[in-house]
Amino acid sequence: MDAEITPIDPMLDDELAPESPPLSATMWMRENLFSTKANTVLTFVAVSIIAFIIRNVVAWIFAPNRGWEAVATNLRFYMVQAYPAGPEPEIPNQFVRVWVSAGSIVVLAALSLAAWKVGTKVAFTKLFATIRAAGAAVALVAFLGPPTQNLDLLSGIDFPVIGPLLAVAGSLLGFFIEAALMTGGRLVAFLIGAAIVVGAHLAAKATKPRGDDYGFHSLWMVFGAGAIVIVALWVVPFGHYFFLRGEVGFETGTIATSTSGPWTVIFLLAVGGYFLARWIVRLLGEKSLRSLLVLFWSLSLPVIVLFVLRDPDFNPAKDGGGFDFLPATDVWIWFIFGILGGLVIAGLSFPRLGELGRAASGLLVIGSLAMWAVPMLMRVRLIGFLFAMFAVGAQTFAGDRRARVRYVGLWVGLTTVLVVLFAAINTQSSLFIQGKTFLGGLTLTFVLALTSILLSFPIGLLMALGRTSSMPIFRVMSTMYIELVRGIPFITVLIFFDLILILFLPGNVEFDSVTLAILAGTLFSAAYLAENVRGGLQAIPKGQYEAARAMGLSTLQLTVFVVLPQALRAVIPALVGQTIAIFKDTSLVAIIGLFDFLFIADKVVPAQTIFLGIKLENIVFIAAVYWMFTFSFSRASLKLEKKVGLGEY
Amino acid sequence: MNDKRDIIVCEGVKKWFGDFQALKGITTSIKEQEVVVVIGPSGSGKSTFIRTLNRLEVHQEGTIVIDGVELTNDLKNIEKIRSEVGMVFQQFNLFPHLTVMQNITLAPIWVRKKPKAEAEADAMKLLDRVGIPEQAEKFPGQLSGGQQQRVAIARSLAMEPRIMLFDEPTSALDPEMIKEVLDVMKELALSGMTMIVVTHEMGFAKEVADRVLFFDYGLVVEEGTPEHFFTSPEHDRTKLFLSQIL
Amino acid sequence: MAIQIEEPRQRQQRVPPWRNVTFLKWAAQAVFLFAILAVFWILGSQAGSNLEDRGIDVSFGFLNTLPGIRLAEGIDVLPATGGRALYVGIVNMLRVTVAGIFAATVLGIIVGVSRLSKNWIVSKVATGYIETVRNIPLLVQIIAWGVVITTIPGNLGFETGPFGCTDPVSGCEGWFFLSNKGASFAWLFPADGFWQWFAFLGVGVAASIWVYRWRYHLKEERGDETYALTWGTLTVVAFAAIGWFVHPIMGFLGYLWGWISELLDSLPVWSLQAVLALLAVFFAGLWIKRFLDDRRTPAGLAKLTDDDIFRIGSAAFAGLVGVIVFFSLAGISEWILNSGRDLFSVMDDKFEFLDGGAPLSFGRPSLVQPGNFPNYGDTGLTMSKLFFPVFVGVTIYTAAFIAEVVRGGILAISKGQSEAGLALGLSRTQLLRFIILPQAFRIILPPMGNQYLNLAKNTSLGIAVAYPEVVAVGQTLYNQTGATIPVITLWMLFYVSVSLFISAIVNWYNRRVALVER
Repeated sequence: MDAEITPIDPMLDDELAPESPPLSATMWMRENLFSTKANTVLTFVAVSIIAFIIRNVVAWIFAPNRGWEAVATNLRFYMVQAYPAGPEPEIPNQFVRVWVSAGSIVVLAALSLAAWKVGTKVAFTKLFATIRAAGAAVALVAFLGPPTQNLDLLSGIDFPVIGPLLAVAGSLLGFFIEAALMTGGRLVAFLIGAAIVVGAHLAAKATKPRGDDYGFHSLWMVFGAGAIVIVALWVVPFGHYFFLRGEVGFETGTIATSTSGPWTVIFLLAVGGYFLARWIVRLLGEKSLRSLLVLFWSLSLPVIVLFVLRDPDFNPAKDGGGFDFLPATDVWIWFIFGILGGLVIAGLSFPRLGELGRAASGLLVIGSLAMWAVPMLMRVRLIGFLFAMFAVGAQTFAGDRRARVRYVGLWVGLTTVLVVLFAAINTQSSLFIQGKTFLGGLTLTFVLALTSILLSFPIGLLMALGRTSSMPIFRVMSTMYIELVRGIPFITVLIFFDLILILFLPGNVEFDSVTLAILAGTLFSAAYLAENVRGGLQAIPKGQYEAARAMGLSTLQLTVFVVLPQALRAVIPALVGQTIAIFKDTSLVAIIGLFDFLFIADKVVPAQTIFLGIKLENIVFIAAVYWMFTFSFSRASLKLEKKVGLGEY
Repeated sequence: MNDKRDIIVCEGVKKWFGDFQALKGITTSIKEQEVVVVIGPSGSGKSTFIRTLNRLEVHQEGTIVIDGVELTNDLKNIEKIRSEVGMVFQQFNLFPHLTVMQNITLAPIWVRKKPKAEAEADAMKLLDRVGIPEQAEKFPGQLSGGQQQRVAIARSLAMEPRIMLFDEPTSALDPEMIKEVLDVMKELALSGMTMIVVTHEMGFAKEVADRVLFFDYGLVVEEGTPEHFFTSPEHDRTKLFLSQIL
Repeated sequence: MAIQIEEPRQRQQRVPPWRNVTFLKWAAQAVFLFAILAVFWILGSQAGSNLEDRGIDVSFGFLNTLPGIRLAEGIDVLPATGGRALYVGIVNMLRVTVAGIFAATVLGIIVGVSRLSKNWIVSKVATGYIETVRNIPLLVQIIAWGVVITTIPGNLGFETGPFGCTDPVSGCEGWFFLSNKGASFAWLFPADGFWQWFAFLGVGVAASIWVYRWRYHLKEERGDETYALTWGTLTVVAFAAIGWFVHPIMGFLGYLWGWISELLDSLPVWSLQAVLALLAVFFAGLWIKRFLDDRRTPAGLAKLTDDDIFRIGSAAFAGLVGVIVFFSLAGISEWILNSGRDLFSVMDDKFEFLDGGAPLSFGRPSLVQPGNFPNYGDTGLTMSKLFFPVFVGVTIYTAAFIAEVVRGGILAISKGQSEAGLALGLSRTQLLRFIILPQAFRIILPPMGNQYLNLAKNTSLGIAVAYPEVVAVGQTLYNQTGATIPVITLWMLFYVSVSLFISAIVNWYNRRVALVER
């Protein structure tokens, strides 16, 4: 049953097997490309298709009438949309807030890289092999690229049926003729590529005898890439836009130091922070640094969005004394729920309370639900609900004295954070907001995706538990919700929240469209998450439940300590997949008119007077950016998948 | 032995799975510090029987009284009985995401509300008792089957139960590992633990059991001391079973 | 051994409710249900007053009034009622869905198999395709295709070849055109006799299944090859060929549909209400009976637990709710009757032609106005510039996912299976036919159904390029009438029924496969 199967170590296998001589180029080609007649035909077809695509793509990219400067000039727009940029001369632009936000995230990331000791050793041999491949790709593209800028492969071909074939065959032939006649940029690119291939090949050969141990830390590549970007910011004339007396102005072929300067500082801080953190880890160990960073990460999203980018106006002097509700309500909410509630929770967590505690927490739950029936501030209802949940958990999770203190401390801390956040949401922003909302561009896309996935997580978890529960009402209702949401397209959910939700709420409640989109994304992805988690729950053997029950764990304890850790570990790949899907799905908010990354490329930039009608370039640009992010997510998830296998069965 | 009081009393316990009647009225009682071995062919209801004793299965008719507390829908009684009755499973059912130490201390900390340090000290004593103190920080997946089952026993003992149920504890083990588990169980029996053991290990039954129950078709067909049972069984079913298994 | 009991036996011990497991379980559920209902009730009443304040229409009246909108394309570009407009949107959505499913399946299988190819460059091309396409949001792709098609300069078709244009001024016929007006190509169109022929073909399929079984049975008896599959195929082909000439004999079906239509028309509404209510009672009763059968033991009915009684009560309650709903809302029954009548009368029309016209007609695309802004004639099958981006977008996107499904299915069949088959002496074809394909199919089909479902839902992104499918038409309608709530309700109903339909097919298949497995 439990036979110990030693996994075959691939490294070990390599050592034992006799070193097979490397295939020569012709041998390799014969084996992989021309092994049979059918294979040869396939190879030619595939090569023709690739040549055709590369040729046309290169021709399109380098065509003289391409409007790439529309993208370059609007890069800031793409990142943050019209984030308060001083429409009037006397209002200074607020980009410093963006730099502070981006800087904190980059530095936090650098610190985390050190704290979690990310990175492996990269062998020089492998690095040079990669460079060699990249050089070959450059040379190949240059080789296949069109000789003139406006090559139309299909023009002048008269025969409709054999036309495409002829065109492809002709262009294949043509490549060789043109290759001999390469001139200009194409020749330069080819030569550079060829030089890289030769240089990297020699270097790879030279480093090969020293083996895979001869290498460097992979983070140096990250830092190197960062340094290249910084240098590019100073050197390459991207172009930028600015606001002058309320009008948007553009200047192509220049670069604002207000971009390159801050990024240089951020980069230096990140590198410095990394080495500082390494030093701290060596000195004090990584445990405390890690918990500190987890705290920072979990606070970073609301703090950056609400405080740095939006700047809540706590100023009491402004119109009509907008401040007085703060001490009048929020402070009291904090006192009642945080301090008095903390005492109640501390009382409830006494082990000897028994049934009395259970009855009391049950009453609290009913009371918190009843708060939704009477008119009341939404934040009071939400905090009240959380309070009831904490009270239910008190018996379960706060057994001994230390656990009790920690539990109550957690509650007080959570209430404090929540009250401050609610207050921040409910105050006006002190910024003069340009667009519909203060968030826009890639920032909005990321905020939407991150908030939706984070908020949908607990809901999806509960829904999955409900669907696998033995209690029929929970099961039926979860199933109905999940199947309904999974049956309808996201766009209808978005439109529902955009148009309808407001009709169901009391007149004084208002949501801006970003909040509505987040709500839609949350409830939508919760259904999909629930299905993923259900898969994990079903994979847990029945014996685990029985053992936990036999030990006397309550249902809540069994779920938290035994079931969920295992289920979530099993579904990590699916969860990352869901995150990627949500990231892609955020592009749909462009349809309801939010200024997200796609909307700017689709509607905003092509409508600017000097870039009128330049659209495909913008779409291709954002497609490349989306691709970059999703592709690296999925690659990272593959690595994660291999890593979390540790300590299992 | 007769001066000991009954700790488990079953009367007419019946249980159905759909059409299939697994238990057809079990009436028996078990005294404190008694070691009872339950044997019988597969599907005879012996596993179902001991699983009803801590309500992993809900019996549909009859009564079960454990230490004076009747097993009903009452939450309090179920909680009380589960923390007093330990159980060891055929498939060990250790929690794979927790270390051996965490496996053992989980219930004492969260159910018994013991401080963590105390729970860990107790756990180390138990690991010592089952002979694997050096494995405390490993994950179950890194242990052999026999070691895993010994951890499972330690995990049950950590709740300081008054009764231990063993559901075929050695059936999933390789032959060379059975002995190490049986040794632990013998030691436990000698220390005065009330034990109900479902097993196919006849040697264990002969050596340790105070009483043997033979189950077939959801009924107790025969019961008695091991000597009586293995040397002069009365019932034909018992004779047939013993001839097949010995 | 006497049973001695220390404490008095507490039979029928009274358990206080807050300690009773069953009670707690049901109380928690009841509280939850109550909370949900309360939230709905509060939201609903709030909505009622809000709607009144804002004067927003919540009735479905717009379905029967003139919407005054013009649709960009579809079977009826100037619909007479809102309902008709939505129907046109549904037809457009189904058109792009069906075409997309077909094309994505073909492309996906090609790419998926290519990725497993031993040819290095072919597998790399397939990998590159998959990794590029599925990592870019579909909406971005659809918009990009929309830009591509509308910026094609002039016509990229082959209108000047030997089959093509001779007179560029008055227009010409070709085989395939691609321009900023979309694509147009040669196609077989169903003609007057199509439905009769189709019905005849249906008989042929039934016959061919019978022939296949017969030949297969013969093979089992005699052992030698009987070419069952060839025989079956030939039967269908024969029926298609014969039917081409004799299809009017199926015209009697028209009378049958007409009769059913009239019957439905003459039925009073209460009769259907009664039938539906009876069905609700019947199914509730059936469920309870099955449940009790499940609990029945040879010794009689097992003791029902509290949970069981709660469940039986819930089932009875659900049945009662069904009866009340069907009797209080006569509109449901009326709607079912009317749609049934209309459906059969439409089918009657389809079978009406009895003059023996050809079932199919062949058409080549025509270019009636060559130049930079060409116009197509209606002789070929034309994909409009709105249809094209949605179709190409969802096809290419879904094909990448289907390719992964296909690859996964083929890889999932263990090497041991092939080895076992080969060891039995099966040939490579037999191995593929009897071992690999059946298993791969079983693995592939459920996720494939999921992908089809995604494709159907993704067609709603056509709204971004103004393709008039059901969401876009609905949006136009509520912009016109303000009836947001009814329109969104109809969307949800429509998509849920589409997905239920697709998942029902997949489930049916799964169950069939599972039965075979046993």
